[in-house]
Formats: sequence, structure tokens, C-alpha cells
Amino acid sequence: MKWWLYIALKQLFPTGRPASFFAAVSVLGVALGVLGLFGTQSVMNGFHSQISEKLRDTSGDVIIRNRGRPIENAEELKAKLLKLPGVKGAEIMAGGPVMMLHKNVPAFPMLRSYDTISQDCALPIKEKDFIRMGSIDDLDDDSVIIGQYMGASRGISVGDTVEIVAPTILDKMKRDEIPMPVRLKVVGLLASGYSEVDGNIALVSLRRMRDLYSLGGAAHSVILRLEDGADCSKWAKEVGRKAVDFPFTVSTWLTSNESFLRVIKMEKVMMSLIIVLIIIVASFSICISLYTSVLRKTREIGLMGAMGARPWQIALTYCIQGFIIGALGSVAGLALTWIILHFREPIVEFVVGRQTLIDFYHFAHLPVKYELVDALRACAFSTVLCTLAGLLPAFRAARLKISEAMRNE
Amino acid sequence: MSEVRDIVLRASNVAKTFRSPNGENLEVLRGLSMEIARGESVSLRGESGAGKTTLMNVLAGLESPTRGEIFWDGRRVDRLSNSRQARLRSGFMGFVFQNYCLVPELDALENVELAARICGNFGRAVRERARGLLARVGLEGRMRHLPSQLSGGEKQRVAIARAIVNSPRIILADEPTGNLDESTAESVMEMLLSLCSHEGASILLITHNPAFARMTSRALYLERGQIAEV
Repeated sequence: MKWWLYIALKQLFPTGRPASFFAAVSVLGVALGVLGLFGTQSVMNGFHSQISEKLRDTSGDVIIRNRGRPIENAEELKAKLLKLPGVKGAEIMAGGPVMMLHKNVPAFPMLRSYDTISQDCALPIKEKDFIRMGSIDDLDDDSVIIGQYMGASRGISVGDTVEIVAPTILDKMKRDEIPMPVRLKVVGLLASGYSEVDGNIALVSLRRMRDLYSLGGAAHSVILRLEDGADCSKWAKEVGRKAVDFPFTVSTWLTSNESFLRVIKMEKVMMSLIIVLIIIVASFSICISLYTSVLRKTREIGLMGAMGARPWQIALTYCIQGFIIGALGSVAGLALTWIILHFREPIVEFVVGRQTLIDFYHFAHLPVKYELVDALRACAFSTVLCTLAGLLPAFRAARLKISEAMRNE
Repeated sequence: MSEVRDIVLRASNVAKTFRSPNGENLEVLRGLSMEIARGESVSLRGESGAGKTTLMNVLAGLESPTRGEIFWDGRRVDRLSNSRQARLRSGFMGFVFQNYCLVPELDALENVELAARICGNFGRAVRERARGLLARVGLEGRMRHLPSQLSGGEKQRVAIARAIVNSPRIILADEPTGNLDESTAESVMEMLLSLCSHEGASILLITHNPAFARMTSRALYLERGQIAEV
């Protein structure tokens, strides 16, 4: 082992003691910084991942629309799209806002169709068991499945009857017809886990939806489900947009929810930046401590110079100390992150209460997703910063004049 | 030629001038010359502030002379870079200081080994040599003690073992007994001189004590920046 590494290690971990006070506190400081940074990033990744999954599950992978107009030849388009590579399933979808009355209390949900005949569905309603207190198979032309939060907020439960009035009522009134609301029986509750959906969406059969919106055989969109692991954006660009002609548009769940996803990503970046500032402050403390150590050890540094140590070797002694503190703190920080996030449930319960998590985010558990790149970035950042913190003391130590250092009192 | 080979350390017409804070030049060494032969023990005495430590620093390459030449083993070193001097010094010279200068985080054995490590030597042979030297200075049972657990005399004996571990050609000892009581000082001094003699190393001993100066083979006196043989 090189002597400068040996001395650096000995100054941090002196003989007869596990670690010096300075080393222990510095490593702990860096570890807490890494915990803050990597922990926050992992939780934000968890949120992003969970929300993305919910968005994808409730939007479908790729959506083909007709610039706001109904798609007249929806069946034909669906058949054409199903032949494209990478397409796992396709669903003709009609949907739009309606007024829903229950015991004369109105609500204005978005109605979405489900093709009860073909049972083609681009959403994993059956696979992920989205329907509670009923089944999607119970849905027919005279029934409806409502979002669970909508049901809870309006006091609607399975077995109740709701009345639906569609905007097309205006057309009927223009034709002097007497519009009658459609009475539908609630046969299940939609519980996708995404509050936007569970609080605002109701499912009816495709035929009922067409009838409510006077669509005839048309639909509002064709929703595609791609093979597992497919890159939706790439598929839309390379396959989808080439396969469908004007006036159809091809969008993905990512583009449909772009703003929302960007907000989550921005939140992660902003939180990381704040914690980075904390780590920078910690590195200043390390710099000051190492600098004090240089001042305190002036005579020892002079002695090493007298014994033949070159200035760059003396400088390395302090730089290496910064590096070791950074590296050990990073590893300890990663371990601490894993331990704390592994036992996050009781912590969340103690700090904010699980109900808060459910109320605000509609997650029963705090989501966490570890990403190697975040871990590497946090470690590299902390280690580089700590090494840089050792530069000023190292420079000072290397510049000491041996004869003057030896006279230091 | 043979005389040149026998001279371990030579200073020729060396002068050292410092600039005082008020801008005046303070000439501490005034063109002095001296030689130390292989295995020779030389004492250097002088009033406080006479420039003994400055002379030692200049001879060791820790400070550059304002004028003159320094030779180590016949090789002129005062024009070498600091880095080159440091590399040569690590194997050529050993130091013993009045205030011991032990590294507090290292135990006695590790302190002795440190000098060897800086010189680029480590491993089992170095450890055995360090152990042997500590045993010879009477610290067989104190090798694993930290400096804070050693007395002044013991610390200085560790420093002596450290100075000798690289088998240097010369030891520069700057008032090595200055912090010790009389009896400890005497035993440390005897130990230092006998160890140097046993290892074949020359020694330049800076001391205020005339009795210790008499223990060396040659005594010098530094006065008004010049060396006088006593």
C-alpha cells in the first residue's frame, strides 16, 4: 500500500479505534445526503412508475382518432390495425360526457364504452381485476359500471339504478322529440387504482354508448394494445403513423398525458436539486474539517516532507481522505436508503398515516422503484464532491514549507 | 578521490540570508564550509538564534542556501528540484527532532515503518527491521502503544528507531534531548550514538549540552554565521 493511502486511512481510522470522530461524522453526513437524494429519487421513481402504469392501464397504449369527429368505418380500421406488427389487441371505443342522475342528484361523468359482444378491450380490466362487487361480464345494454370513488361520493352502490342523459338530447329537442333519460342498473364498481378514472369514469356497453351519442355504427376512437414491453412512441412513429391515412391521428398514452408526466419528472428534478444543495453544504463541512486537520498537523506534514514525501504525495493524503469519506458515505447511504425504504410502511404510518397516502395519491403503499442510474449518480456526485472538498486542504498541505512547518507550534 | 567518497555531507561557502519583516536582510550563515565523513559523529553548538537549525535545514535540503553548494555523498544537491531532493533524502538522511514528531494515529511500530514506507519500502522485511530497532532501543513491549501512551524518553527512542530504519548515511538530530530530564537525556543520547555507530551512520548532533557534545568525535561551534572547530 502506498504510504499516502496508508496515512490517509490511518488518519481516518486510527490504530486502536474503529474510526476518528471526524471520519465517523463525515461518513454519516454523506450517507444522510445520499439517503436523501437516492431515497427521494426512488420514491419519485415509484410514483412515476405507478402513475405511468395506471395511465397506461386506463388509457390504452395507442389511440387512433379522427380529429374530433366520429370514425365511420371503425370496424374496418380496427381490422386493418390488428394486422400490424406489434399489435396485441384493438378496441373500438366511444365515449364522452353525460349527466348522471341518482336520486335527483346530478353527476357529470365521462362515459366510456366496452364492447360486450366482441369483448375486445385494450385495457387490462379482466387481467388486473379492475371491477369490484361485480364483473365486466355482467355489463349489458341496460347496465353500467361506475368508478368506485364516484360511487362513494354520490352514495351509489351496486344494484342501484341511475339515469343517464347524453348531450345529444339537444338534437332530439330540436326535432321536437321528448327526450327521456336512460335508466341503467349499476352492476359493478371500477377500481383501477387511478383516482382520475375511478372518480370520473363509468362503463357502458358499446351499443348503449353509440345509442346515447347517436353514433350509429361509428366510434370515437380505436384503442390499441401493443405486445408487452413494446415502445409505444417508437411504434406510433415507425408503424402506426405510416399505416393510417389522413385524417386519422395516432397518439400514445405518453403524449396524451405528457403534461402530467412532465410535472412528475420536474418534481423529481426539483427535489433532487434541493437535496444536492444539502450535500454541497455537507461537503463544505468536510472541506473545513480537513483544512483544520492540515493546520493541526502542520508539524507532521513537515516531518513527512523531511522524511522524503513529495508535495503531490502529501496533497494526495488529503484528497484521498475526501474520496474515502465520499465513497464510504455513498455505500452507507445506499444501504441506509434500502433499509429505510424496506421498512417504509411503519414509517409512513407513523409520519403521515396510511390514509393520507390513499386520500391524496390513492396508493395503499408508498411506491418505490430503485434505479441503478440514480444510485450511481448519487454515489458519483457525493464522492466527487467530497474529493473536491479535499482539494483545498490538499493544496494547502502541499504548499507548506517543510522548514517552517517543522517550527510550527 | 578516496577522500571525496568518504565525505557523506559537505557544505561549501554556504550562506543563508532571510529578509526580516521590516525589509532588512538578516544574514544567518555567512559563507561557511564543513564536512562530515562517513561514520563520523559531529556535534554543533551555538547560542540560541545562531542559526544551528537553519544550517541543518540547509544541509538537509529543507531550505535552499542563498549562496554556496551542498553535496550529499559527493553529489551536488542544492540545484535539484524539491521533489528530486525529497526522493534522495528519504534514503540518505534520518531526522531526530526535539519534539519527537511522531504521528499520533500510528503506534510505535507503525511510526517506525512510516519512514520506510515513504522511502518506498514495506513488507515483512521492513516490519522485522522496525521490530528489531524498537527492541534495540528498549521498546520491545511498547511496540503497539500509541505516542500518547508513551513517555517523552520512549517517544524519542521511537523517533531514533524511525530515523535509522532506512539505514541512512547520516542522521541529523536537532536537540534530541531538549525535552527530556537529565538521566533520560543521557540514556537517549548514548542510545542514539551507539545505534548510529552500529549502523555505520554519521551523525550531526545539534545540542546545547557540552557534555553531550563531548560524546561525539568532533565538536563544532556556530558563531556569527561561521563554523569554528572546538
